[in-house]
Amino acid sequence: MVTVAALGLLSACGSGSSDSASGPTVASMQLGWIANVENAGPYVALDKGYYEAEGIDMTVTPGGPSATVEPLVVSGKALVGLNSADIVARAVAEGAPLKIIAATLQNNPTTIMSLADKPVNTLQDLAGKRLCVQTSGQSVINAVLTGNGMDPADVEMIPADFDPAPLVGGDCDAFVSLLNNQPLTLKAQGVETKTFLLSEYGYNAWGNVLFTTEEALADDDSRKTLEGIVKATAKGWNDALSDTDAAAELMVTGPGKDQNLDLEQQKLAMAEFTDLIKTPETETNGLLSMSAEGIAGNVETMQQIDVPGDDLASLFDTSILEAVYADGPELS
Amino acid sequence: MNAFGRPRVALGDLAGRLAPIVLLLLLWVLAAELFAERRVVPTPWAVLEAFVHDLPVYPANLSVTLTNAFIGYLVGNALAVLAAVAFVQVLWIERLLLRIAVASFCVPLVAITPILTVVLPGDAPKQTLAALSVFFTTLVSCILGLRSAPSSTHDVIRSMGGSGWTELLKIRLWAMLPGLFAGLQIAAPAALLGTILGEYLGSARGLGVLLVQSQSSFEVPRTWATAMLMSALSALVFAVAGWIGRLATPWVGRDVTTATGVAASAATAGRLSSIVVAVVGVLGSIVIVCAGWWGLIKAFDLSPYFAKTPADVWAHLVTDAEAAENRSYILSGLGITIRDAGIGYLIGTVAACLLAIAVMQWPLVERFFMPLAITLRSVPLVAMTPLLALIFGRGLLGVTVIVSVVTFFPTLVSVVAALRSAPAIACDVVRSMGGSSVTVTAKVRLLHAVPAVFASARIAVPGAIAGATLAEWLATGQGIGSMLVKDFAASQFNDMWSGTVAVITLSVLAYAVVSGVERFVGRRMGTVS
Repeated sequence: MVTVAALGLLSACGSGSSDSASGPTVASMQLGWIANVENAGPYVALDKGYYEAEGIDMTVTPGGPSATVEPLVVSGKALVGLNSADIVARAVAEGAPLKIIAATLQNNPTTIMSLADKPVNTLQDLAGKRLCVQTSGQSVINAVLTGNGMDPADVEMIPADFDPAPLVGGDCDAFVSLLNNQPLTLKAQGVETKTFLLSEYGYNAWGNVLFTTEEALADDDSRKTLEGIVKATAKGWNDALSDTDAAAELMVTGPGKDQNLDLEQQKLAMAEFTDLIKTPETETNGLLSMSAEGIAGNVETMQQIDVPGDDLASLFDTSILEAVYADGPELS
Repeated sequence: MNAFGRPRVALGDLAGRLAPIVLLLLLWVLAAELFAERRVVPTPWAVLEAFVHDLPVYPANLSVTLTNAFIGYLVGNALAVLAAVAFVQVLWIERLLLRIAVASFCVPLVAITPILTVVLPGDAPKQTLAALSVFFTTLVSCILGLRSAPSSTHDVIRSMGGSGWTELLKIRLWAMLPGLFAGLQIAAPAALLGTILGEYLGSARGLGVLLVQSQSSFEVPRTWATAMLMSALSALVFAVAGWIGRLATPWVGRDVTTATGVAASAATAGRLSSIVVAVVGVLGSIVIVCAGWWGLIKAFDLSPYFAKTPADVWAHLVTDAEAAENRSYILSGLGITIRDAGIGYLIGTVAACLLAIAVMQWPLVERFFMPLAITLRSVPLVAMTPLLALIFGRGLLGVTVIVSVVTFFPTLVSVVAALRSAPAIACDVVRSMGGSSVTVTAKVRLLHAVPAVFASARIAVPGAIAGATLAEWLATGQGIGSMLVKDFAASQFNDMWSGTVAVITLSVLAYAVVSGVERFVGRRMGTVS
């Protein structure tokens, strides 16, 4: 473990500087969450040797509830990080020299979930209700409420973590969750839920975007590495989505083996991911794509939720994707 | 605490030991039935099933967590012993560095984890969090032990021409051992918790990852199985440390000393010079902290976007155009945190003292409550908070319960140890005069334990502040603990660093007040010359 990280550190110094004479380029990707199907793409790519084929000796580092993705990427300890587009934008607004180079979740998965026998069907229904939300996610909820002409003070915010127990236990009436996560896990435990997406109310930030530093984008060698990473990751996702059960099995027997992941639940979650990652837009432009309309939608969302910055569109750098998909959306 | 090391276990004794376990199980089943609708309390058999199901993956996770916790425990405690000796031998080191040790205990984890993960390789950030969780508590226990050597023996050594270092070797180090082992006991669950919080940063395996996985999948029996495994481990390490302690210090409670333990700093000189010394000490500590803080940022060339310097914080709070606004934002949170920590500390301390006395009087109480107390201390708060919040609500009562749990345990351990270590001769004198065991407790043991209450306040008061920030983050959503997490998520690092400085300042101030009160009480009781 120490050696792996030390390698990551080495790669950091040169931001993935290539030493083609002496073998593959060492690089690492910092995930925002633990190793489960949410991160199937990179793990399938690792498993199938797609990074290797691009000449990259890749390390994929799992995250967790307290992951510090942006500082790790800014400091060069990871070449690429994964997080929500608006979170990256806030870091940039504070001076982090970061650029988003690809987008995994084309539709934002943030969902308001309630119990089926006590449903909360719309955003407006939240007035006078108790809403469980991660402490770190409160600013987004406040902004979406305000953006839809509601007063955040009308909704009682109750801090919760990733554990949906407070909703089932009756501590709150609704729970901010990810479409492909908690509702499915609750269903697997026999709890029926009712959900609606926040994207229906103008929250359109991309999820699990791949981002890197401006410095890495300015360097020809690390650009090549970044192209390789984006290409291999897209291929990994392509495989994962064309056989979601196999991807779930890989996560259960491979990276998630020590967590005793539940295969059926991972299969369900993986299937649910398909529509978030594969859209009409990616059919035309390839997986992980960032279309002009998509970027405009993200910028609009960020403005709505008060992300500071005059030129939020400059946060997105499509040049890596353009190079990867120079010959169309099919990847060889 | 005597679960180990009793030579004879009679059949009746065994039944007495099993009774509390059976009672706990019954209560558990009852709670599971009561909360069945809410699905927050699983049945014991569901938990057992989950435990058996996860048996194959425990070794891989346990080995990672235990290795990191052990390294952190070892390094943190070793540094604490060295620091304690240095503090006691060279007074100005203590004057300069003790505040920094307090800061190390109270620094909100969310503030330092970005730096730790960037600066340190591999698992070292997790080990560092474990070491940080144990350093201060062991330091305080050791200082208490080192200073508890009776002054008459010091005088003997001095009169025979012994130097300060002879004194250290011949008396103080021996006197330190009981304190050291008490500290090592408290440190065991803390190291495990620090590691698990470290695993929340991201890890391929470990008990913390297992907990995150099962909590986010709403696999409640698995969550409980994992949490109970953590508690059992903590209790085991706790018992082993206690057992080694008793083997290594067989004389505790058997020696003839009549002095009570004294943790207070050595006597100060005149009033004026003591004020000068205090001011120089405070300024020195601030200079050292700022220099170290700034030096770390420069040495590792940390990005200014997340690593704010002392100058940034000063600007944010004092010279910026919005400084007044920034200050009131932080002070509003700090006020709530002070309330949360204060009430929780008081209730936790009173409960711990009452239980400690009960433990001395009725062995059954010890058998029943000590395992429960250890369990409460070692179940990770992150796993326990939903349950506590469900039972006690998310208001002041809930946060009070969580803070009490944090402060209760160190106080209980120290006070029980102090009650036990009351000199045997003094106890015998009272008994020979016809005193019952209640009289012994009232006349001898309690007097002996007063310094322990204040010594443990040195740990429990900063601990209450740390516990309050954690509860605010996980349960109430108010106060500075919640603000820091929101600031981090929104990359508001100026606010986060300023809030961190505020929490640390509050902790150091609280610590100074506790020390002052301790000295005052010590003087009133005639235990400080």
